[in-house]
Parts: sequence; structure tokens; C-alpha cells
Amino acid sequence: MRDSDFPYDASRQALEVIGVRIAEHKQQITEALSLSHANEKTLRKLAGTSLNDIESLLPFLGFILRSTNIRNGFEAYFPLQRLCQKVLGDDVSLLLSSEWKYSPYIYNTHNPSVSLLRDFVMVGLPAHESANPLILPLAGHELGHAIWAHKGLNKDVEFVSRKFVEGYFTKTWSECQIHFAPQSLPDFFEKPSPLFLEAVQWANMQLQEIFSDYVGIRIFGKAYLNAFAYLLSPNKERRRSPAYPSTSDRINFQVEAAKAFGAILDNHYVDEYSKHFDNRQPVAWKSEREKILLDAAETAVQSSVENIQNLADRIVEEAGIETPDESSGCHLAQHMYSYLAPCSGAQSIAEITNAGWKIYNHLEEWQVEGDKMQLLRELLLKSFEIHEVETRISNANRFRDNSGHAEESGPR
Amino acid sequence: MLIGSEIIADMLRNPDRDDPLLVVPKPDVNDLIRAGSASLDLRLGTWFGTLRGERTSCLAVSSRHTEPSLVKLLHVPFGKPFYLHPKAFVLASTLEWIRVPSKLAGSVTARSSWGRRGLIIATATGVHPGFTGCLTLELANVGAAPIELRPGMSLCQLFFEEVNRDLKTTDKSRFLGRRKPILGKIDLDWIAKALQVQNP
Repeated sequence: MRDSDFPYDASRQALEVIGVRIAEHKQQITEALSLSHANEKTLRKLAGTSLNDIESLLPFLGFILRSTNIRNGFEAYFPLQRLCQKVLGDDVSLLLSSEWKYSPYIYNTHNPSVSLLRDFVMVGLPAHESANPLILPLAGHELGHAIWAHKGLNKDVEFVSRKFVEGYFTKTWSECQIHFAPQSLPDFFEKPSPLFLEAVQWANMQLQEIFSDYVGIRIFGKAYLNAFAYLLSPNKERRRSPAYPSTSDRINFQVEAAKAFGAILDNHYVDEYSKHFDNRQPVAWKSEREKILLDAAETAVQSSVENIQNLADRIVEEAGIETPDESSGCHLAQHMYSYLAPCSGAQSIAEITNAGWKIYNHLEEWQVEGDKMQLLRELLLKSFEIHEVETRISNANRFRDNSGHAEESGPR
Repeated sequence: MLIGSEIIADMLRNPDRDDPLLVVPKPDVNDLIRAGSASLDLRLGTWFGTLRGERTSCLAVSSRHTEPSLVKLLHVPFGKPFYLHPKAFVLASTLEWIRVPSKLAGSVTARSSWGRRGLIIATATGVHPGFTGCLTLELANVGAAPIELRPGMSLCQLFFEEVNRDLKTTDKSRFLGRRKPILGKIDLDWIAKALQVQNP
């Protein structure tokens, strides 16, 4: 793997970190074998630990290898890396790769078994769409998960969720207790019952998903909603995962947040957006008890979403990132649409992706020969690169001005 | 007639609304005027392509091989080098995306300072009216020493000439934009096909 063509340093650095860990295991086993008093039990224990570690790290190796694939939208790398660092600090490195899962995916590098990788944010876009810049806003959702883990939000949110779940059961205990083993309500809370903890955990997981949607919307605006609908609608009936809010709730939360952040104003768009999804609730509960637990979790979620929305807003605000509004990207879209050339002067990759969606929504009317989607992809990816070039030149000029150099010639 | 840098600068500064000359990222127009030359400097892009010689016995006309099976692409980000060794040949692209209006055509040549170091650039130099995209460059090192290339460095120059006719009917699909270097197709036209017949 070390001989792969790594376009960006972060992939190689992550590989080296894993390499060091594996070398340590190898050394420990070699040393243990060389001891005259080595016994089989100790060796088995060491080998078992090493194998567990390797098993945990193997998916990361695959992810790192796929980050070298030239189908990835490499032009998005530096702007996304800058975005990550704005929110999470300069010590964080982004790995942008592809994943053979239908939806974008983030590897949780805060899991204790892979804590050696905690300074890497690993975002995998779906392999079948990894060259499609229109779905890049979904990386904002994955960044939301990274923020949740890096900032340790789970602890604070869990405390609040617990209170709301307790409130639910306090109110409904007389009706729902028959579905639980005989126990008193204080025992249910304080022992605590694993079922109670499960409801709290589901609430937390759902809130994390909602928070991540909020971060994506807050950063990418309407382009996030478009990308979400493009990849996930109509979301036909499947068994509902308790870790996710129901589709109808999720869409409502997204739309309300998009309005609050100033990303959408148009009510017609809201109606159309909701219509993309099949909002029928897939009901396939394992038991009435599961339904009650989920009801408790959803009550906690409903009570917390406003705080979660404010939290996402505050974190992104503090990073100095503005939400693109409805008009964002209009002039860029007009330029690309009319002249078939990438845009310059974009404020952010969010603005470029919003421009991209404006063109995509008028693809049929676009007077262009050949593969229109391919041309749009080329224009957007090149626009990301141009944005990076302009950012670097602007930073270099600022540095020169600050250090008292006279204005010299050079591209702007 | 070659178009001077002042006119190029004017075209970039005040682009024609219907059919503009566009160069993205936009060069420093003041710099262009100051240079007082008859060309526009272009920079090296981030994509390279090398021929996969092992996949085919020769680069045959109308080959059944697809472009990805013949060209291995490599992305070199800003800040990283690409080493072109003696006798090596590689496709590259310009950093700039160029949209040529229908009244202009262009030609690419190497900068002499690179030529003196053994780097030959762009042997297929014509840029047609209506072209939009990054230019594919053919780079060959005919010198004795390896050459370090870096995306973003100034590499070649583009001369513009006026086309006498306003070619409004240019077949734009031929020139539709790409950001990566491409090999392109070589097909036999009907005359060439007629000439291939062994026993006419």
C-alpha cells in the first residue's frame, strides 16, 4: 500500500500511523517468542490482541487505499480540508475517499479501538457517485458526525435526553408498564433498566443524525437538500432503523432548519422537496415494547431539536462560515450555463455546488451537445480547483501585504 | 495576424457578452499589458496521463481499446512535484480553462527557457474557434537530465490569431470541455477507408 499514488499527504500519514501500530504488535510478539520462559497462554493472548487490532484497522486500510482512486473528485479535497479545519481546528486532517455503501459514510475515529486515528476525519462518498460534485454537500452531514465526536457532544446531549425520556415514562407508566418486566418506575430509571438506556441511546443517535443534517444545511444551504433528495428519495419503505428519525420527521426538521438558517424562503420548494419522499411510516416493530421505546426516544428528540439546531448554528457560526441563501450561486450558474466555462470569484464550494444544482435543475433546456452531466461535473470540479487557486493567491497576497512587500505582478 | 497582449487584455477585461474570450483562472491583466508580448502565459495543471504501453501492441487506428485502458491518469496536487525523466512522454493539461470565441483561434508553444532544458511541449498546437476546456499538452523530455514539474508553474504560451470569418456554426461538441488530458480519437474517414482496400 505504501507504493500507491497518494495524491494527498493525509492518506499516507494515516497509513504510517497504522503501520507503526502493526509494527509494535509484531515487535511484541517477536520479543515474546524469543523469551525462554514464553508460555503458550501469553503468546495466544498477545496474538489475540494483535488480531483484534488488525480486524479493527482493516476497513480503514481499505478506505485509505480507495482514497487514491482517480475517480474521486480530488479537486474538492483542499476546500473541504479547509472547511474541516475551520470547524475542528488545524490539527485535523481530512481523508476524502469512496465507500461501497449507498450513502456517504464517515469512519468513527473516536472509537477507542482506533483512537490512534482520532486526528483524521474520514469521509467516504458513495463509490458509484464519488466523481459527482453535486453530492458533495452530503459530506457536510459527515462533517457533522465528526464535530459530534470531536467536541464530545454526546455526553451533554445524553444528559438532556435522559431527562426527557424519564419525563415520557413518568407520564405514561401506568399504560406502558405491562410491556416491561415487573419493576417500579424508580428502579426502571435508577438501576437503570437496559430498555430505558436503549430509549436514551436511540434519542441520542437520532439527535446526532439531525445535528449532522443541520450542519450540512448550515454550510451548504439548499444544495444540501437537493443532494439529499437526489441520493435518498423516495426512500421507499424499509424497516425503520431506530437510530434514525422517521423520514417525515427528518424532512420536517431539515426544512425548518433551512428556513431558520436563511437557506430557503420559497414555500413552493418546501412542498416540492417533501413530495420527493415517501413519507409513509414503515411499521414493522418487533414488539409493542419496541414501539413504546421508540416513542419515548422520539418525544425526547422533539423536545431537543431546537437546542440541537442552535448548537449546530453556533458551531458553524463560530467557524466563520455563512449559509448560502436562495440566490447563492445564481451568477456563477449563469456564467457556466451560458459560456460552458468554470466560474471564478466563488465565495465557497457551497456557492459552487448551489450553482451546480441550479444548472442541474434546468439540464433539459441546456443547449449543449453531448453528455450534459459529464460537462456539468467537469465545470464544477474545475470550479472547485479555481476556487482553491484563488484562495491561495489571495492568502499569499495578504501575507505579502502584511509583511510590507510592494505590490508585485502575478495572477490574481 | 497575431493579436497583441493589449488587445487580449482588453478582451479579458471587457468580455464580449455573447461570445467572450475566457481564461479561468483569470491572468493578471496589468501584468499582461506590462509584458507587451503577443501571447498569454499558461500554467501546468494537476492532471497527467501516461500511456499504458503494456495493454496494447501498438496505438492502432480505430482501436477497440477505450481511452481509460490506454491512458493512466495521475493527479498531482499543488505543492507536489512530477518528475519527467529523459525520453519520457506524458500528457498534461493546462491549469487554465480556456474558452475561445468564434472569431479567434490559437496556437500553443513552449516557453524557450523550458525548451533549452530539453522539455518539448505541445506538438499538436492548434486551438480552434469555439474550443472550451483545458488544453491537453504533450510533454517530452529530450534532454539528458530529469525535469521537475510542478502544477501551477508557468509552462507554455498561447498565441491568438483572428479568424477571418465569424464561425457561428462551429461544431461545439468537438471541443466540449475537459479538465483532464485526453488522448482523443483517430478514426479513418471515408477516403482513408477507401484507400485501405487491398484488392480494389
